[in-house]
Amino acid sequence: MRIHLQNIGYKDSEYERPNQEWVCGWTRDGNPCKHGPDGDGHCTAHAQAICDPKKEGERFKCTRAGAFGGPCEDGPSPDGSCACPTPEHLVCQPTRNIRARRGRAVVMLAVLSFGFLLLMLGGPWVQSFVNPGQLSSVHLAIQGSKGVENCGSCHANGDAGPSEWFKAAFSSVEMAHEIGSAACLDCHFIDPGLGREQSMLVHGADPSVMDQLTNAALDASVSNTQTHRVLEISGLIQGPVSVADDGLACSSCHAEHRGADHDLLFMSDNECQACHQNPFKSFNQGHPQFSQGPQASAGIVFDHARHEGRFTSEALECGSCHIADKTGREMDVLPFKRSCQGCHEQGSKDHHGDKIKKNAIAVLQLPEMEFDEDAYWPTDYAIGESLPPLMALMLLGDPQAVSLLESIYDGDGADGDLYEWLILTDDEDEPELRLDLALALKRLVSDLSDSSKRGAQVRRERLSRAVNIDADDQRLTQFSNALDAASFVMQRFQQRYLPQLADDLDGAEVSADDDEFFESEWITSAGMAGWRVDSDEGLVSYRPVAHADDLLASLMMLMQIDRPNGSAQAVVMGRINEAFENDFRTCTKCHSEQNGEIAWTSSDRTKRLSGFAKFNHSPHLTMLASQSECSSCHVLETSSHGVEMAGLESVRGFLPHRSESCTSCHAPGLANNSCLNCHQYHEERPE
Amino acid sequence: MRTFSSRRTKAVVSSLIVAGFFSVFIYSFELMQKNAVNLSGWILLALALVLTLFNARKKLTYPPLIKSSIWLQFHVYIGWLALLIFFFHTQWQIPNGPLESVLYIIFMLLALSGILGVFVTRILPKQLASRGSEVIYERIPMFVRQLREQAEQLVLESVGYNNSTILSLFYQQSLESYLSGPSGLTAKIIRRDQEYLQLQSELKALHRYLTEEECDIADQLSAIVETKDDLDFHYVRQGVLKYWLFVHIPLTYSMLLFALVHLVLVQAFSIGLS
Repeated sequence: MRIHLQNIGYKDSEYERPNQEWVCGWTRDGNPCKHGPDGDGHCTAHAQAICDPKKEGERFKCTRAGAFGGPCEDGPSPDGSCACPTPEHLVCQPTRNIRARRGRAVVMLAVLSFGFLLLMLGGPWVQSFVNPGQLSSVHLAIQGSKGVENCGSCHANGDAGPSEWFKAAFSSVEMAHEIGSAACLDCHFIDPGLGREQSMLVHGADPSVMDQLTNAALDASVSNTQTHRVLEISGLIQGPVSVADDGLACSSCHAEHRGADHDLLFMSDNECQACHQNPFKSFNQGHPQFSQGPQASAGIVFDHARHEGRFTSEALECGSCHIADKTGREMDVLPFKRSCQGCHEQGSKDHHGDKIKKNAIAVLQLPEMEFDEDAYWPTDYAIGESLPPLMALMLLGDPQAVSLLESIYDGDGADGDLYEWLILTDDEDEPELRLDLALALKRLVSDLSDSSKRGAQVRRERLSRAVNIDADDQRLTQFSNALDAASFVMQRFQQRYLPQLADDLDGAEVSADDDEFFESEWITSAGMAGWRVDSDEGLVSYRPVAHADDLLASLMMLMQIDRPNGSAQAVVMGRINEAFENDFRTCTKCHSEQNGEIAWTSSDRTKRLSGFAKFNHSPHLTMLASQSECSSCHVLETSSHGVEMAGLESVRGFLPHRSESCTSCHAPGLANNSCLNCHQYHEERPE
Repeated sequence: MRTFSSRRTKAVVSSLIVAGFFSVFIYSFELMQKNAVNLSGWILLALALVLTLFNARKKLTYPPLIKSSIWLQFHVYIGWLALLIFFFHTQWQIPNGPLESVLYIIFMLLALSGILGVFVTRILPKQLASRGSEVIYERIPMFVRQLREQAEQLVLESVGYNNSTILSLFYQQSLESYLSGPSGLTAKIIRRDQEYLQLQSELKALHRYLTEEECDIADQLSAIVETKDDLDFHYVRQGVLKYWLFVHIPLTYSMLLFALVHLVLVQAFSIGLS
């Protein structure tokens, strides 16, 4: 049996007024006064009881308001004083109702929060307070220590105070991402490459390369177009991907302030797929087959299939020539001495160096000339019948000789043959041309025979003018150094055939009849290996002595320099190319030529056609039971079809990889199969 | 007329569709290397302001801007959506910066108090309706006082019958403190009525020592105890229904203050980075 407490109904129940802020202090005791406090929170208990009696005629009447119960039953005292001096309720301390107390809690917490923010933003610890999180470990050095953060290192307003931040937040400054990314580019991509601004382009790649790749992707027939549904939906929402002309800001992908352990380089597969023209579900579902085999034909040209079947009775082990580099990522090729020389011994029948040694290069020979007047010239020993191309090259470095050479090469049928030149210039009216040529040749002999440092410098400057490149260029330095090694030979040449050369060039009266020939034997040393003087012919020649000959190599590199068609340099270089074609071919049989540069070592190879892929051999090598298992991924191309390299005979390499050889391990739940495992966003440009 | 259940089903389905749309929309921004965090931040701010407007709407009696009950429904479902967007905004990670951490904690407390509010406003009214009569929270102390006065009157009556002090002693020792105000509130939340059951048991046990008239009085006292127990039950539940807002609403404005500072800082520090 429960007791009924109240009737619910607008006529049956007192009306609660939750909008009234104050309630009677006796409410908690269960005995509130009927009318409660006034609007300002003052107790009305006294007013409820006491009135100011009004005299009507001879009697006083109670004037208590109807709201407080109306006139009291007994009325005022005869003297007109209120007869109810004691209120029905004791005076209370009114309290706020729940709603008002909640409102005060709101205000108090808001004030507390505001004060806390003022304190934190106004104190010296403001930068620590607003720091949204620790930088990644690679950037910790930039962050500075706690309390002295270097926000301004990356943020334009980083070192300003809260007032400046407030202004900046509501200013109309355009958020040009170049500004922020510029701070990144102060340290990253400092290699000129494509330049700072272009580093922010998609993949940091040359737009033309990206266009090429995009068009190739659009043209490609995709067999498996299954993609993540979320990509399709986001494509519908966002439309085709469009990147601003000025590219992507660094912060688009590399989010900072995520803690020291945050991986700045992480990108999800879907993020990669969102931009790509032919998205697919995963590496295991829809990834296109690899179109290329290992880049065996790049750098050092090596026909693996030919070596395996033709020259050895047993298959060559991969480790005979290949070894992982220091990082383990790439497989380097061992140097010639360790990988090739074991079979290709110096002097052996098949060694290409042997072929080179048969072809001595004529470097210096004085031409046979007769003069109408007295001239200092070893007529009896100057018997050259043609102008050696290398000598012509060095004459190009003599400004006074250039016009002479041009006259030699400029006529019909002129091909650098000295007899042709004699026919052209054996004009009685112009004997000075022969004198000028003789003088130019004597200057050349003087320069070549100077073994001092100054002589080396003179030779370098002469060669610089001849090939029209900077004197400090590495290729020129290598060629010049090779010539320096011959200065002693040249000195002997000069002492033998032009002993009074110095006096002659100084303008003294000298005659070849007074020459006393230097009769000693030719002296050679290790540094002069390959240099030879033929006393009968009056000829200095050079014959490459071994693999990796400096003079021949540097000469080949100088040949790669572009020159204007028809120029004296172009003509002379053309002649050199013709003269040494066989020697050069011997080199380029293995050392490929790409984009005007010769790959002398395996590390010079262009590793990939695009620099977006990467592969780490190291973890894969540990899984091989033997070196022969390399063939589980690297399958030799044994067909007769090869790859044309540098116009040489076709070279067979490897079949393109099959993605199945990767997906057997790189699959969900097994090894990592994300895009970034094999690809990198920023193109790795060959240096 | 549609039932509450069907309305709730439709609202939940609609909310899930909207949440799915926002999720994909934000995720697609992220995929396209656009500033998804910025986008989710603005969406979150807009949702927070809409949620805050509910409190303003409750204060307004005019103009009639849709019924408060409908606002409440929107408030609940938008609140869930805001929580989802918040996780997108924080990228499902706990921030480690001081300001962001404080903001994160405030938001989470706000969300948790909101979730608590949703559950208590769904559960407690049913419990209240299942027990006792409908009472206004503010009047409960007054009703308790009335019960106490009734009890005192009955005890005085019992003494007048035959000078028996059994009931008066029982009142002094047990009932008086029980009827002096709300009691056993913590126990009432989890619906443990040990004190009530003990009193009822004791009253029943006294019957063997009482006269017939006193037994009638004891029965009336038993009814008073039962009613008081109901009042305590209502008092604690109605209190929860009112006082959870003491956490939820103040945190709202505190969160908005911190969010404003966060927004200013993000804008100021984003110049040159976004």
